[in-house]
Amino acid sequence: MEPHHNITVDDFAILRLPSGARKMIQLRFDGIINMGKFGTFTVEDVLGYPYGQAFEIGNENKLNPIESLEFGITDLAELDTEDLINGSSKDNRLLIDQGNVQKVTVEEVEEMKNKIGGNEVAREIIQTMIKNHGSFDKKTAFSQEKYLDRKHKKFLRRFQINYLTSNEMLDYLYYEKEPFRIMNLSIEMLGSIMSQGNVMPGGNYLVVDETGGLIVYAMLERMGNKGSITLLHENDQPSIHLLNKTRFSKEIGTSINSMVQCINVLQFLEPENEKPDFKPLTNEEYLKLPEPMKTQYDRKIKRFEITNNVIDRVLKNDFESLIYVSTLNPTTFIPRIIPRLRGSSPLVIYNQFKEVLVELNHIFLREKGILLPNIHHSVVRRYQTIPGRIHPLMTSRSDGGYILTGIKVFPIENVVAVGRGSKKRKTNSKNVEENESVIESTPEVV
Amino acid sequence: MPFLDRKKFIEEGDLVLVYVSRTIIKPIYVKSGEHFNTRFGSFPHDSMIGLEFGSQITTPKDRGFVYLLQPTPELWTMSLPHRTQIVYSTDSSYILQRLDVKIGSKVIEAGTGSGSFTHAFARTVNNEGNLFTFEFHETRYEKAKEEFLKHGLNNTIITHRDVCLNGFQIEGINSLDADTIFLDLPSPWEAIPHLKNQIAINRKVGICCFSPCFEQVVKTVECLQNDGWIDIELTETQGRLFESHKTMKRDVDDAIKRLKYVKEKQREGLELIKAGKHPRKDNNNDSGLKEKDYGFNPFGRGKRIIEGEEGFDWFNVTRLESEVKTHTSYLVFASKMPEPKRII
Repeated sequence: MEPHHNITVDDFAILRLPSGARKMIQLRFDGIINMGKFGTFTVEDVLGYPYGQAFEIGNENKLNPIESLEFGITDLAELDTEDLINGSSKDNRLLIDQGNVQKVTVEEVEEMKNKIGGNEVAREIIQTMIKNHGSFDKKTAFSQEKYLDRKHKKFLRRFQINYLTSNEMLDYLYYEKEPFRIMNLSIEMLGSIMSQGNVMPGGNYLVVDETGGLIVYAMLERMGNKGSITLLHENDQPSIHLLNKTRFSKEIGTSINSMVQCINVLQFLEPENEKPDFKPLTNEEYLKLPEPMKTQYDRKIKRFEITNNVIDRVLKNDFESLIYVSTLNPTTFIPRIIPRLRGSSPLVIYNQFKEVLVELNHIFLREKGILLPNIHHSVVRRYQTIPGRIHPLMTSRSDGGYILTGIKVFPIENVVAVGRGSKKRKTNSKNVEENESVIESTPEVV
Repeated sequence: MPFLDRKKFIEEGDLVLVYVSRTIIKPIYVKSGEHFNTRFGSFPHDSMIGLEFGSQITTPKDRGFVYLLQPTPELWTMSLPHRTQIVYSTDSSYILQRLDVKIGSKVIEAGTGSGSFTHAFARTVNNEGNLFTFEFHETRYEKAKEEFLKHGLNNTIITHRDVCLNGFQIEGINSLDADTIFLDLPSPWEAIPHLKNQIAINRKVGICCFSPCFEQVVKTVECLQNDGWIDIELTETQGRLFESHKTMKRDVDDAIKRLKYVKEKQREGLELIKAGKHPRKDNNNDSGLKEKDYGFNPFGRGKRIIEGEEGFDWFNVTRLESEVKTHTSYLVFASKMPEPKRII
């Protein structure tokens, strides 16, 4: 279950464009990928290059592998010919905002953009724009570079093909689709879920995944082909369509040996009632069946085995972690899941709103069956990373959600905590439960 | 093996993380006949053997209890003996995800430090992967080596080495073929050029340099640029821990009702005084009233109320922990692409 290192036919991959836009593409052998103003390329021409490779479309649509998507895009030297750039200014004191400094019209640019060809088209556009820019020389070198950077990102006929990792999938869904479909998840929170959930090869995990399979995919990446995932879902069929785009598309509940087994919440919460009522035929009875009935019977018995197998798995009460990424109210659901977990199992409950997690955390704090209950959040601050001009980005995507974590334990009834002393002493000492702070009330009436 | 695998029952020789309180988690190796001592009492190891991880045990006199937890890299980070500043889970979990670390990854880590991140790397790459970790401080190296051996980190090779001077070459291994590099060093720019022959040549390689100071970041970024690394990005993480609380819902309508009640009582009092009676002595007939009998929420009426106490309305709220980690380190990420050769 190793990921492909090289661009491979039929894989799904992420196409990155100079503008920062992402597209999910499937690499069909005879496919032609149209990137609009960034040009077109044929899939056959990129097959075999390492994943992550950037390309520039050259003369006659020939693809040239380049160092990176952003390679040289602020390079003024390339343009520094006398008729193009008349030097630059030390500062911008002479730069006057006088409206139409650009003499090339939008229509003219549009016309050039539609020209078929390679990167020479982009260069032509940018050079024309600079040539016809009334006050380019009044800009500082920094500002000129920024201008170039902006124009290049708009017009360069370049692209990059990335392997469809869970990170690439997450970014694609967040930026190009609707963030709510992945519950606003961020890469840093996905990482937290994986680490706090102790995801590793060989584990036996219980998962609720409302992101369409992104969570399961991130787990499978870490597990390879070792271990098992029991996917708990609320519908008749689970929604994990994203997995079909990955190398794990065959690992989903198609036989009792598949890594991912699915079970709905009814089967999970009422396993004894939901065990399929099915009596297998004896061998003789089976042989007497007409051929089409045999196929039907085979299918039925397979489904029966799969369902039975996953219900048995639940009844073992031996899941090693719970990873819960769902909008189903955790306060009413999680307490009914906990008995199915092994002792010392981590629980990771994700929600994009921390308010949803607080009520359950209060239950955890009160009932002692979950140790170290905590609501975590982390956010990454990104920087513009150009030496001499390093600063945090002016805008970034908003935060991901929150996780409530804890560890399942077996408290003995009626034991006094270490350090808490007897009940009587407790009332006199300051040693109150950390979340039971005392509130001063209003002064007495009258 | 405690960190690379999971286990249900505690056996002789197992590493157990004993949870005493939120701030005290102690690692012990279970050995028949020995005791785990706290100021609240002594817990015989024999009482642990055979129990399921997650169990609670009490002292023979029931004076206190502790929980017996299965080790995970994240719990280990909370319990480990600090030999240096450590990489906390907020950073390590982000780095693992961002660098695509997974089963079978080949990782270089320098320096080892307290070995906190080493455990998380070892867990994640597991038996199919390799972790080459380098530590230049001799005592720390010795301690870490012994610890990794006891913890069964079989996929981890620790080397006593100053990688800035002597690079990453390990005798008998032509190239470490690493696809993931983590540098937690005072001067990563001195180590980066040594990576050349030790990184994978058939796939994308990711690096993260972990430095507390901005001056280090600037040098690191320049070095990565000159050394052919691409997609260089500086980031920092901010981890937040929220405490859950309840705060009382105090409605203005109840305050108005209370004011009216007070006014009425004052009027009654005045009348009593006019009638020549003592207002308190002779009019204590509401002494037995309970809060709810007022018909409104009197906000506790002079009592000390425990947060969340019954009989009142509460908001479920959260508050940031009282001390927040505002800076751990800067993380500089970059990638290196192999030669653009086609392999079909």
